[in-house]
Amino acid sequence: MEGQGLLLACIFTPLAGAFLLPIFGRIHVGLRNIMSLLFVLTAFLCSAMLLSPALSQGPVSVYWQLPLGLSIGFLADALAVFMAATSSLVASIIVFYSFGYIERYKNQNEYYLMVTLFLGAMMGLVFSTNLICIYMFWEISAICCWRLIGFYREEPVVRRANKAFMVTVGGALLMLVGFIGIYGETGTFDLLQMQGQTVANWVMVLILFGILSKSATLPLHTWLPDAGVAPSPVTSLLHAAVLVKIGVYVFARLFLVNFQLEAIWETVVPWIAAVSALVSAGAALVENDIKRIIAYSTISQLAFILLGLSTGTMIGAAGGLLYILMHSLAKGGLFLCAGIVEHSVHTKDIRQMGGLAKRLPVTAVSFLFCAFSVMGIPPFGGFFAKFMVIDSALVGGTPLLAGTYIFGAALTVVYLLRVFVKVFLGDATHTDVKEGTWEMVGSVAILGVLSLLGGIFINLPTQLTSFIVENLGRW
Amino acid sequence: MSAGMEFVLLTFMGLPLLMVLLNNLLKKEIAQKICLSLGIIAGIVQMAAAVFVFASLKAAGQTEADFSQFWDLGVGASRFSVDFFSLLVLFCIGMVITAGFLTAGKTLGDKKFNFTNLAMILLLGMNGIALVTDLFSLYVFLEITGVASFVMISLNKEGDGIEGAFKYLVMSAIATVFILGGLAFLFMQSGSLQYGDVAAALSDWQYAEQPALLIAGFVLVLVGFSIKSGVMPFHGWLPDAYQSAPAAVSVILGGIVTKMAGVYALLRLTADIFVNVPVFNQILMLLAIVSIVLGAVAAITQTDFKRILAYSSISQIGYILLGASCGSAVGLIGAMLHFFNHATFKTTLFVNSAAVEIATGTTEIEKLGGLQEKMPVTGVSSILAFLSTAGIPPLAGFWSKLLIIIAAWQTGNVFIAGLALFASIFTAAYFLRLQRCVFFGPAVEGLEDTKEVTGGVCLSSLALSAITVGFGLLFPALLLFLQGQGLI
Amino acid sequence: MGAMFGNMAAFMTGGSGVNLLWLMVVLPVALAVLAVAIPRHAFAARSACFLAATLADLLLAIALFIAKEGSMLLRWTDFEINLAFRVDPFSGAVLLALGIFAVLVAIYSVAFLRRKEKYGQFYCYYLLTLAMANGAVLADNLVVLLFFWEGLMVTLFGMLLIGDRQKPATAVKALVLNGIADLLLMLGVAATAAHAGTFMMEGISQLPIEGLGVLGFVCMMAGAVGKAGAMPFHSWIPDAADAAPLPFMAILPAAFEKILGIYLLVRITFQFYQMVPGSVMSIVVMAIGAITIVLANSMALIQKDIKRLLSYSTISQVGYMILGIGTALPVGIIGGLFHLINHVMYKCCLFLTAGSVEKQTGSTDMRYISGLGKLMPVTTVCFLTAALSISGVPPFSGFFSKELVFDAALESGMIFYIAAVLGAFLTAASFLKLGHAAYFGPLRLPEGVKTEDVKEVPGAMLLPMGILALGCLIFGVFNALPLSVIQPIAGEGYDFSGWPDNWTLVAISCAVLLLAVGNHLFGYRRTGEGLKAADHIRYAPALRTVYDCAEKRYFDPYDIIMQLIKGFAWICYGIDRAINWVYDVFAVDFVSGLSSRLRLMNNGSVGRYMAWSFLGVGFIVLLCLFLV
Repeated sequence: MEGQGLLLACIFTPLAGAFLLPIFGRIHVGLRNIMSLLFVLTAFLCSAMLLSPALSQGPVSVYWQLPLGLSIGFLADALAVFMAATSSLVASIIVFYSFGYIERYKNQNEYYLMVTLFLGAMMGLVFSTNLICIYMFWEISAICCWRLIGFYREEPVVRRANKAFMVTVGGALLMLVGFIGIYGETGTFDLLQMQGQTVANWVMVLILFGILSKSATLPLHTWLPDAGVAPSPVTSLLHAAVLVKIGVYVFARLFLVNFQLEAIWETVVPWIAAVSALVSAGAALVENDIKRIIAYSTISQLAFILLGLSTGTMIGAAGGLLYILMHSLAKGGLFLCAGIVEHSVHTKDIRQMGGLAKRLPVTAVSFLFCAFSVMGIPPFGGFFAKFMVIDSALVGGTPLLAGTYIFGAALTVVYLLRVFVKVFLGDATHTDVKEGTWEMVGSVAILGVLSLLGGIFINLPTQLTSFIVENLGRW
Repeated sequence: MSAGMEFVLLTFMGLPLLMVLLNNLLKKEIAQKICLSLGIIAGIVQMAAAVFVFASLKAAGQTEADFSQFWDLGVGASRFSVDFFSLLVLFCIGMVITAGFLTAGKTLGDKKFNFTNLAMILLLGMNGIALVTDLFSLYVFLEITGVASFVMISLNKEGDGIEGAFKYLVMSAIATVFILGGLAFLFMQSGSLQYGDVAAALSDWQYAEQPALLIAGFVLVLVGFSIKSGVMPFHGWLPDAYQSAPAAVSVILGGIVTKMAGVYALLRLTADIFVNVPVFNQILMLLAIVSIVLGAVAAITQTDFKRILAYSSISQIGYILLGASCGSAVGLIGAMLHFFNHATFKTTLFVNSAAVEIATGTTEIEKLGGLQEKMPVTGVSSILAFLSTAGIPPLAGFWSKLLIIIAAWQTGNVFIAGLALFASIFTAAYFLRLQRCVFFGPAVEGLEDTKEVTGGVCLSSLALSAITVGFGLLFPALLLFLQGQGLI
Repeated sequence: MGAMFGNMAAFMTGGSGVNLLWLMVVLPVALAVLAVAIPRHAFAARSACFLAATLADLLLAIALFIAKEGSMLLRWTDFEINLAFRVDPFSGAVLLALGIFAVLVAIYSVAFLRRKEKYGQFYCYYLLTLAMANGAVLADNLVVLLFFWEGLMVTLFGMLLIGDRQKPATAVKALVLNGIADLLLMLGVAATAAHAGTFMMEGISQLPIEGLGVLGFVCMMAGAVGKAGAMPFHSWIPDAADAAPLPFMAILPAAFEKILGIYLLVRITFQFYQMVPGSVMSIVVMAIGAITIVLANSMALIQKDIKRLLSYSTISQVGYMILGIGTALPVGIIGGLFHLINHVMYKCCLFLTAGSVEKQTGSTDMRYISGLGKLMPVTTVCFLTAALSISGVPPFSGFFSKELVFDAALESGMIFYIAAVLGAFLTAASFLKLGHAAYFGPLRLPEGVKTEDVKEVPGAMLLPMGILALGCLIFGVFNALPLSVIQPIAGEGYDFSGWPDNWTLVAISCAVLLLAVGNHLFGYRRTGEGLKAADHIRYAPALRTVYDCAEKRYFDPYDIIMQLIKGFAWICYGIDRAINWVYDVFAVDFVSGLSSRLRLMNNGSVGRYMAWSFLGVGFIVLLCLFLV
């Protein structure tokens, strides 16, 4: 079946290809760059091509049974394909951007290896149907994340990379304990065999530790702003496109598709997320490091995704998924813009920037587009996602929760505006500022335009998310 | 039994002796030159033989094979036997010995000759431990191993080494006393020291005439082997011995010797002898979890590369024993696989520490820094090994740990399983610190022209890393094989 | 002509099989893009494109106004969030109003912006604003409404940034205040939809204000009031007057935002929800209106800049509309809507006259300009007409709509009536001051401006002003004309056209006007300057402190909100740092402390190791005894 070939190609091209990149790098730098982009694009194209079989003929799957309830299984259902396509699309743009950004640094071979491997791990994770496989790819992504955050190798940088690694791995280990708890009950790690069951509350707590640590939700979030020391394409990849989405995706995979969420969690999870949204938004208003601000913003926005996915309503689930897409595009764009700014003015402190709009017009406009999308202002894509998510809180009958999130959204407007104004408007502080290379500028422009188009042609992504949600057989 | 198989036995027991003979018969000058090659050959042949026997057994559809009687002390015939586990262990021994000899070339100078002799005797002792089927013979080979290691630790005849050896010796002596005493009590009950006989005699030990004596027997044997394996709180000697031993010796010592002398024996005891004695397993499990957690925690603030590895060993030994103490097939298989994995990754790390010592002359992590660029192979292989140690998939260490945890969970020790799993975070913590100080971080003054150590050291790092990664990736196939054998 | 519009109407609303409602949105957007695409120096081509867009929009709006109904639906997302447009008589009238003002201000803008930088951006945002406003009025789905409604923020932000990129504070302020209002609207929309069980506005009717409905009503109202620029969402408007190009003030805060805000307020209070006269909600709405009237007018009174004065006056006038609608009485609603139309006309006109002054003299600060009446006679006449209208002098349009609101306010409570009358007094006083200072009195011009350079503005700018001023008169004298369109919205059988019924109220209003004149003369006598005619109020004993505080912006809700947010942010930051401390310091110290203990225990003494071992043995033995 061709679908299976596509599925395996989607996962293993970046996974295996990543290890070839250092070899290509020895031959020719350009070859390595192109191949890296090619591997990531392959993943995107394959997942895009899987879309039609997944939507029309039902899920494509590859499966090997192993003893002890283990298995190696990949399943391309609409949810997985959606997620794969989203993250590989953004990752492709980020890799393209890297061509310009990373060319002046050492350890490029490792960089491309890790980025490509990272995406491969993401592909593996989204398609996995076994808890252990999920955990495995989860940890591969943690390793890549560790190396990528520590890319610059200086002492404080490595410390922060270590912190990120420790927190995410710690969470993941607790989650693994939870998985084994599930195994203790069901005797299998295979998700397909535990459809529709409920999990014990203590297992849920353990799994939440994993999800919240990966998705950087309070109180397991502080590694994410610290990870801003990484190169900008990396932070973009980590914060926007791939890493933090792993947590929410696994939440969706486990608790939308497989398990029944107990009613109590439909209250507890959104509230945890709500606190996270407010605290991180507040911190974003105080911070002065452009990347830390955007990182806090990520934490805050992830809370909205979690809200959508956990309220137990159809519109919330669809909104949460849509939010994943829109946030990936917009937040990816913001980080990449921050990268251009950082390269231009050699600082990350927004107090030392100003008036860059004149010198960096494309970057400024792209930043603004992406910021509007994150703020949830139409006609940008983030609007629909935000609305649906907040609506789900009301449909779920918790107006107080909705109000809290509205407050969070208002704070989003304030802090993103603060960044934009301080960086791009006001009096010019730097005179010798140049726009980034064409790859970099092109990448952010693409993301900005996609954020806009995502709102105008909203019917395309929502058809997909609605299809996914309707086929969960839950409502 | 085929003739080939008999020949194999000769390999395991005879080859080390042959090498010792060769080494000493040759002219001293020549021996100095080729002695390390002898060791390498012995190691490689041993690995090949292990694989060959495994293939033969599998082809014949057997799971174990007995060899000729060895000696008869009138307390039940003593014989050698191989099963899959002992083959795995023999393979590990060969692997570590090879790695040790590859490392020795650059570290030992004129002690190579002595080293070879001792290492071959050590090899003989360890092979014996792997092959015997009665407790007394086990004890004999244990002593051979022990004596060889004492001398090896103090090979350089320097203060540190001698002190380390002395501590090991003292504690080993205590262990020996305990073991012998325990064996005596057991012998009183069973009248034989054959594994099978003792196990049969213990099947209804609660109704024995003097259960207190038997309990004393368990306890003494358990404590004796625990001291040998360095389980907490009997671990005091272990970090000192590992740290003070010469680089090549600590590769062998840390990679396999204590595992053979203590852990393998404990595994055999739980699997073959004390099957029906739950209290033995319970105590073992307790010791195991204490070792896992405290060993890892203690490693976090150590300042010496090798000492960190030593504490890491204590912690990892805990995992192996945890698996064994579950008393289930899955647990035992997990323990065996972790034994193998531990031999692989810990040897890698000791080889790396040797490489660092060769390149910079120290293993104090405070004095090191920024070696990643200078020593890429060492850096990368140590990352892989540490990730495997911490149980990060898809590396080999993850799978064996997973089996152990599953086994512990299935036998109802939920809390201990969870704790053991979570303790991996401490493992990650101390290795991250190690990596940061040694390989990342700023380049320290005076280390600017450090170069990668080439040759055997590098080769063994690479080969062992390849095994760690390959084993991890092919683990599903192994699971299928084990299922085919009906083991899980 | 009629037939042409008839055909067009049928065509637009699907009568002939093709539905073109979306043109109202797409056409301005397309032409906006086109206008920017045309090279920068081709001013004429760009302007033609711009004007064509507004004209086309007006034609389409007329067609829809005639058609009276029509709808279209495009699947957008699931969950009923579809692109649904619908025209009914009310929205048709609103579209028409939008179209007319768009054309008038557009003509003015072309002349005003000639030879100015960034005029292309202005055209683009202008047309986008028009498209969004059309979309918001056409929307038949709450989410679509919200989509276009919030979308206006983007163009607002853009327009404010045209003025001065170096000082973006106003743009930020506007975006934050509007953002808060719009997010409240979002919450309100979601709550209303949850309450009603549907997003389709057609299906939401007369919900009771209880439970979720309270949240829905209050939040939607906040959104509507916020867009209209009532307190407390008003404070960006006076600042914007300084920052943005003048036509912006005429079209957005003065016209479009009022129209949209009041349009939505009417929809909320009379379609979606069932607001009963005298109910709590009604009083809340009225209170907002009354407070806005009094406070904004008092601020208007003391302004020294024409644009700022007009801005405060704009805010105050919206208070009348909200007050009228808040009474929930037919007379109030009709009065409010009528006042809306009048307000948009005269305020647009007033801003345009201010623009003319700015164009010719380069300033709108009344301290530097004075006595322009002789130099710019037509502008002055237009100003006078509009000022008479806003002050409520009969028979100008403002008088009639205000009377209706007074009537309704009196019926709802004396306090509201008093507030409204006080507002009327202050309005009249401010405009007396403005007119006196700027157009009459001795001639004074800013430094560097020569008298011979200051002359009447070109015809393209006079035309819109003239039309609007004429409108103020016509809608007063022939008030049946607009009222015939407005009255059906409140229901059947209302007729408030012609002279007001209640003579007492008329008498009071006239007395108040006279009082204002007297007050002005009193102030003028005291200071000898028109500009300082209100100083005796400004520096009155108790008011002085209040005004001082107000001028120092102590009462600016934006500043207060930002202070609160900042405080909140620091608390959050503290929490965040505390959590971070747990990771970075506590966890590390705890574990390494534990680890050092263990490390130090291993001190190399064999004796100690042996002691541990024996302790271990003892422990195991005990355990054995316990376990066996």
